[in-house]
Amino acid sequence: MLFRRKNKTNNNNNKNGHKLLSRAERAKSLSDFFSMMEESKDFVSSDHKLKHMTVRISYLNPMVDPKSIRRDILPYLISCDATKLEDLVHYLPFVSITHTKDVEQIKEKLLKGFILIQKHKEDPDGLLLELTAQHGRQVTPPEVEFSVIGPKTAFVESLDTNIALIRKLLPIPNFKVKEMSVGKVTKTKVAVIYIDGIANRENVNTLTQRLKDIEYDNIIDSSFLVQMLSDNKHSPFPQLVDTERPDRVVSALIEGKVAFILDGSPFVIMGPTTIMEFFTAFDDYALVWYLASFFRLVRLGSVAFSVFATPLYVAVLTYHYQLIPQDLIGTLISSRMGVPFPPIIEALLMELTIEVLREAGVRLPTKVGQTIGIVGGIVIGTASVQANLTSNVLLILIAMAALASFTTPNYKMNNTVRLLRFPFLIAAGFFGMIGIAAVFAILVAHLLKLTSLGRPYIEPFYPLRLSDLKDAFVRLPYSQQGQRPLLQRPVDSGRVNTWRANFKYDIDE
Amino acid sequence: MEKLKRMAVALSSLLLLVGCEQPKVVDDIRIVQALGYDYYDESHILGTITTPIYAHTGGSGQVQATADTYSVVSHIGRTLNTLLESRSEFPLEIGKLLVILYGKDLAKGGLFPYIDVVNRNPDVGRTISLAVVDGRAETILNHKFTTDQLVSAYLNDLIQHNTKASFPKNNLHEFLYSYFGDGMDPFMPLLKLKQHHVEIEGIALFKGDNYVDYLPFEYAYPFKMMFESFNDGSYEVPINRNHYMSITNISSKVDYKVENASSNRPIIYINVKEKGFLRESSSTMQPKQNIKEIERIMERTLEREGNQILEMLKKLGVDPLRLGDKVRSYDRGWSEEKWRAIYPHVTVKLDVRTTLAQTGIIE
Repeated sequence: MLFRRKNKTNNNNNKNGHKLLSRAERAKSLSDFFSMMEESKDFVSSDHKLKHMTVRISYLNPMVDPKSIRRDILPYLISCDATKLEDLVHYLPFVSITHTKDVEQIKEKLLKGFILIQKHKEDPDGLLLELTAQHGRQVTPPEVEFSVIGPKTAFVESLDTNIALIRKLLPIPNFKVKEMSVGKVTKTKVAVIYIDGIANRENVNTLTQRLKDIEYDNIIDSSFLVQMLSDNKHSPFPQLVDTERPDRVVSALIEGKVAFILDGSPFVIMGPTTIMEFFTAFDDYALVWYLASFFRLVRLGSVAFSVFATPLYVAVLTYHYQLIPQDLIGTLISSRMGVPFPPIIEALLMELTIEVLREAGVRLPTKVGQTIGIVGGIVIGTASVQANLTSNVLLILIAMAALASFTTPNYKMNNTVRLLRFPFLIAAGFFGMIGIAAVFAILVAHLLKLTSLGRPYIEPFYPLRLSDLKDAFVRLPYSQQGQRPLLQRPVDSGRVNTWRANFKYDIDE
Repeated sequence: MEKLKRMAVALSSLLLLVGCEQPKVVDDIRIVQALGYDYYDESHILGTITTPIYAHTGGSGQVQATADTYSVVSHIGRTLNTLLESRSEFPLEIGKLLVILYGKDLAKGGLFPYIDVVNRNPDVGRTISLAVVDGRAETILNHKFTTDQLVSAYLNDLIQHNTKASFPKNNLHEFLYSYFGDGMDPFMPLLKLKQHHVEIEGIALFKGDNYVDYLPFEYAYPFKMMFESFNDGSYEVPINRNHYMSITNISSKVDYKVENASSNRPIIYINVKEKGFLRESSSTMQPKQNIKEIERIMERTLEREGNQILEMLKKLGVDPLRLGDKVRSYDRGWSEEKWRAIYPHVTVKLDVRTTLAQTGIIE
């Protein structure tokens, strides 16, 4: 409960000692605020003489579009006949112009890229026009959640663009966007989105409340928020799905999920979710159901392989030689001959090498990254076998485990899988198979306790909800997907009109 | 905080347990693959073990293992282990044991002490092969065979391959089942070294754990036919003095029925249904016309051989076919002593029905 307040009654206290903020918040009057802003060079505030009056225009230079000021404001102002500030509203080509005396609002809007028009500097009465410059990048194809088939659109850093991308796919009035801001310093805009009439109010309220209760100064990315509002903040398992695909968000919303978008983050967070959702990819829905199911099972199998391959190798070679098949025992023994370490050290050494390679590769430019891959894979691999530092059987297992871990479509889950094998490995080295079983028991116990926005995390399996198994290990055909997942407890549970779908027409002569 | 403390205590106590389990890293142990026991003199036995030695390959494929076989003489009643360990550079582990051989002379005096060693050891699998050697186990284990494999794997494959075909199923588990079970006696294959091959000479019959006699290999098929249902066995039907036909069976089903079970003269009916196809024929007979005749000859021969087996078993007083167990399932008041007494006089009626399904592709 470090970042989340329990009672949300006191909204503007400075008890936490935000000295930086206290000064800004003390600027109760507009002139205080102006004098504070004038210390910054990018703040522009100048008087303009019109036909019948003078106005003062103030704005933050880098935040607004200078072209628009010249094109959309100044010509109209200079040519207008207004004598009063409120009359200006009719001359300026803007749909929404806020006329306010509220200092707080002026402060907030000005800092977000609005321009302020006043009669003179001391007058608290002002017009606010939105002229925010669009600095963001263009909508690009997804990079993290790439799919072969399907739409190639990914979210960008702008909240409005992201909402537009979703709205385009959801042209219904029930699609609701609730906006608020988080972060004491960053004041980042965040929007909770859901479909009214499908999403359970309880989920919407849980998410909204948790977002409102966030007490932290720096919210840059949605991944920060995920850690703060997850049910279990110490779990290695991500409890909310992040995605950069609008189509995925839309399908989740239609299932009855709730999502939120953070301004400045190209990842939308959705919940409540289950562990299975982290192993599903868009392609699962684009292929025929049995193909999709097969590939999903391959993916799950490779995750299991990735976690258990090296621990099992270590356990079997250290304690349970009886388990090795007769024909394999020769290969294993001769490949381990002369290796100076016990299997556990050997395996840890190689696992860490792979992790180092991966860490090095992730943050390198693509071209250098390839070189690292070749250097790591071929040179270190072959050399360490030839130098007798490791057995080639283990090298194969490690490489395959590393490869298998990449099949996880979700990057966060991918990291979890990477980490999970180490406790297993260490337990295998100390206790053999019993150690693996014990760590597995701990893991299962942990998963049983996990929740996502208060809903069980391993839901279709525990609690067993047979109808939700239609999209878990296998993905059944669309004809079997007539009901929304029970996990979300949707208000409207049916996806299709079953009567109409099953209606049999008579043969018409 | 309290939770964390409890967790730390639990984890550290786990770590304290680490010292209790001895690691057995595969390349730091000697894996015993075959054991041999022989009679040495009245108070000593000769124990032989075979362990593979794998060469270091330096990361380039597998190099053929060589067998290291050595024997020690031990006083009866003492374990061989201490003596064997004293000649080995690594601890000996019998978890991957494949085969145990017993010399015939030793087997006559009772095998159980030498089976009990592996029976109690949870490391040893229950499907390992046991065999009696006509001669000395040590000779076979020390022999250089022309096969690629080590002698242990060679013997194990030899026995297991035959159990899949015409030889009745047997392994450590089956032996122990028959040994401890009521109304049954165990058996094992009897091996013999013939020049550069080992041959299954027949079925070694046991009374309790004492070897008594053996059934020649020719009788393995009729024995198996009465012992269990199986397929893929092959059998030769003598058409006349010089001509034989080889039949491979598709299925062989055996069914037991017992009448007058509680009386002193129970009648046991053994009904066997054979279904097979003709594989080879050395005769000039046209098989197509004579299928019925071949079937009849086969039925008659199998019945005759089966009855010979039954007579021999009754005379020896051993019951590897588990007839006593069959009777027991019909008789509430069954007792081992009573069965042993009436077994030689029991009436067994064997009925074999044969169908030849196919006579090959050259019709």
